Amino acid sequence: MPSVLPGALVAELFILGLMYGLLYGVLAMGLTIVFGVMKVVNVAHGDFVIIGSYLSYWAFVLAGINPILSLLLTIPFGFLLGALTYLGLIRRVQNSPELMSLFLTFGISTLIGGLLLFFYSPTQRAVPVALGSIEYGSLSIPVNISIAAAYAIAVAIALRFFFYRTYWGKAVRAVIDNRTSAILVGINPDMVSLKSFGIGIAIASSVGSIVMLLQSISPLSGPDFTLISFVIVVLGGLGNPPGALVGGVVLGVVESLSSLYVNAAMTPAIGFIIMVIVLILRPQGIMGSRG
Amino acid sequence: MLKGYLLVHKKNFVRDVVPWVGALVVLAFAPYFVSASLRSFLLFLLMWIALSQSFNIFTGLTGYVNFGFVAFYGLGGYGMTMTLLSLNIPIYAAMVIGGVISSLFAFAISWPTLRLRGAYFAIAMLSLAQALFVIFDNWNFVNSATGYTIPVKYYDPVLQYYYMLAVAAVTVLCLYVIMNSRLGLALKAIKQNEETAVSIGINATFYKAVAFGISAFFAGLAGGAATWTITIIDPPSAFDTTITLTAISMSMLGGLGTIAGPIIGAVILYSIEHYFGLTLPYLHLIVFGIIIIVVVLLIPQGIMGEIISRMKKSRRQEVGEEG
Amino acid sequence: MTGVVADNAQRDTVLDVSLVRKNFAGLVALDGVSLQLGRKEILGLIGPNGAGKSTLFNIIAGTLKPTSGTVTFRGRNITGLPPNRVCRLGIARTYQIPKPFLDMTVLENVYIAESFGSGRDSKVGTPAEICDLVGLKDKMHLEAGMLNVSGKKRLEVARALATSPDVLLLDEIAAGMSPTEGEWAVRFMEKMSQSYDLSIIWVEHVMRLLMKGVHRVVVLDHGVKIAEGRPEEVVNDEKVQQAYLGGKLS
Ligand SMILES: Nc1ncnc2c1ncn2[C@@H]1O[C@H](COP(=O)(O)OP(=O)(O)O)[C@@H](O)[C@H]1O
Ligand SMILES: [Mg+2]
Repeated sequence: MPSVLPGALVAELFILGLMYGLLYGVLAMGLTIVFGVMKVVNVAHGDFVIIGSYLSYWAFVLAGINPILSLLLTIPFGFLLGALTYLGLIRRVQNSPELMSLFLTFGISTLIGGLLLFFYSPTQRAVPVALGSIEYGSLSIPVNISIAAAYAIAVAIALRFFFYRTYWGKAVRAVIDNRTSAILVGINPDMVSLKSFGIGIAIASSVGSIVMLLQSISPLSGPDFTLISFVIVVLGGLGNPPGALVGGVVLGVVESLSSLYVNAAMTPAIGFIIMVIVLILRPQGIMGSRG
Repeated sequence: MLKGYLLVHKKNFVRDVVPWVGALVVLAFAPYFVSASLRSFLLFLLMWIALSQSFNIFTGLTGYVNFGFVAFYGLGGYGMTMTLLSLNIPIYAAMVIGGVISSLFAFAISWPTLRLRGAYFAIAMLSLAQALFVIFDNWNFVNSATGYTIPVKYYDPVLQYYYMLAVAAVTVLCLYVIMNSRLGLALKAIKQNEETAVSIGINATFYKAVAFGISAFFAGLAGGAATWTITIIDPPSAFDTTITLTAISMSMLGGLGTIAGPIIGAVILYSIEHYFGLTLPYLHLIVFGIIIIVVVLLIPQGIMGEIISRMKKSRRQEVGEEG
Repeated sequence: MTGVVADNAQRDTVLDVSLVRKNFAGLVALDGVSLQLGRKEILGLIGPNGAGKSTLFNIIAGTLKPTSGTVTFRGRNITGLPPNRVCRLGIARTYQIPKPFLDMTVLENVYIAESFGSGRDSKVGTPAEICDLVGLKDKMHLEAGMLNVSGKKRLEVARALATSPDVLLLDEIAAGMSPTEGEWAVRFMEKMSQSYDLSIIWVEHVMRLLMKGVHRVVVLDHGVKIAEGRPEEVVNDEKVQQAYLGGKLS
């Protein structure tokens, strides 16, 4: 622990935390939209991230496609995969007890993890693209993280447009707000669920592409992404998309700054502990309204 | 006659008791007849029976999904190992202490976590287990990432087998006792509708915590016995999410909330895992995933649950015809 | 006759709700409501939808904590006690939207309530006798989920009675019953109250039915008590008629 904290270091950690937080916040938005619409907690969310990562990885290895470019692949693929998963599996437990949807997505997570392990082994994979850093005076911000943040902002803006300017976006919001009255005014809940699950998974797998710019992954990394999304979603309030973005930024900054004080390996524990405290004190999330 | 129809169905000694005693006798004499590798297979099968059954004691009876189940297993393993190494007491005492530590942890976290419902509880438990992993991995008091090794002098595969047999048998017996007790009645009500249960005077907080503690105790015992057998404990093995996954798959497949269910599930799935684990690694994960999905979609009550509800239906038809 | 009972009630108060207020996010559901329930009294609690009747029940039963105010049961302050403690003390409630244990039989539902409940010896009868009393004798072995609305309402009553309560909170049990069944419910509650020393608060959205059975009526509107008195007095009260936008009462 440094005895005097240099301002530049703190500023840099803050900015890095903010950028990571944006990306994870957007990832968590995918989870929270699905929960808001269907009351399904998708335990396989992180495994869909890894599917996206593998797509980008193979696109790079086989065709030399840059992970940023492979977003054009992972976004539609994710949407399609999500829509199919909804139609084939999730839809059937919509009216069952919550326990069943938890078990079902847990099964999906196991299946995806198992398939990836079986075919690709637990080896860590990385895409060797060196992007360097941008220097602002004494600040040094890596380019890949900046790209991640830019992508997150783009997704957040696109989602805002979708939610407020399009029919289906408004329908999704209406269903999140009150399913029964949404149905009463003629919204097709099945279609809304299909699209939300598609969007949720498209977000997850496209974040997977971006993750390839930042770190190496293995089939075993899936649950890590699920957990971090859980933490953020709980911070922001389950089923509250803007809350997830705020929760992501809060978590990113807190974790980043905490590395000044605790062993970096311990930072995930900080996230979990914050989450459990939030669950106890404000089960509706820091952004949620009371009552 | 009414009481007989109610809750406790007609007792049939031959049907209810004989198969269990028979199985116990066979398993007790097995080490004298089977090869070392088959004995080791049976030992781990018994461990999975104990684990899926202790998972069942809480999740099966209350309906609260414990995605952090492995925490109980890991704490039991650490508790056993550390007391054994530092206090030099008999293994069985160390195992019980491991179970008690796990149980105390369950009681400690029950106040905050058991107030959460559904997905919130599941997420909180998953995260707690993960937090334990991270903490143990960095905590010198528990030898951080290195973990511990059980000294060779404790090596005794036959004794290990009998300990595991005892743990599995006591866990199953305990589930039976709970299901036929006031605790079981309260949990049954809580599982179906907690709000109503509380409104008729059932102290749900208390009964849930008791079931949670008992579940943790037996998972901790199994964790201790398993660690003794495996001889090594470190954070990745003690807090391996696959253990939660396996316990869930086994009890789901066989039937959560039934006695025979998790045992049947353990026999089927551990046999699969054992077979594929040797020939094709990770294939068993694919099989587990498919099984969970198929069970949820087609027989959400599991094999035993399905059988029981069919029996109930046909009996109700009989009653209907009589009346 | 009714007047005498009402006067007795004043002297022998079992349940005393005093200045109870409940705020939900941005909404005052109850605004300083007070009422007393006498021994063996049947008190009607009426008011338009959203008046706060169920909220008041939730507060008495311990499901919700009031923002302020107190609930006193036999001289003991029970405000904020958890529902299971309230039930053990002898206050049982039914739910407006029935909440049975769906996968259990009717008899099992009642049996569990009797096994826990207030913990006293069953004062109304065995579970089977209670099923018989509420008219569910031939449906005893059906799963609760298979009952129709009227059956589920009867099961709510049976479950509440099985806890051997002193105070019974009935939330719209006649809604979903036919008029004849409603009449039955009124006579049944009168009998229960007299035979088993039960004091009852009975919420019903429509007043007509209650008028025949209750000793006294309290009228809520927008969380405020706007009238209280004998049924015939309350019916003619101007404020009450306004609250119901005329006509609905008779
Ligand atoms: N849990 C709650 N959260 C927010 N508002 C509530 C809640 N319960 C009831 N309300 C509101 O309080 C008011 C009173 O409701 P309620 O007591 O159910 O009325 P009643 O039973 O007289 O029809 C209504 O406006 C209702 O929407
Ligand atoms: Mg109401």
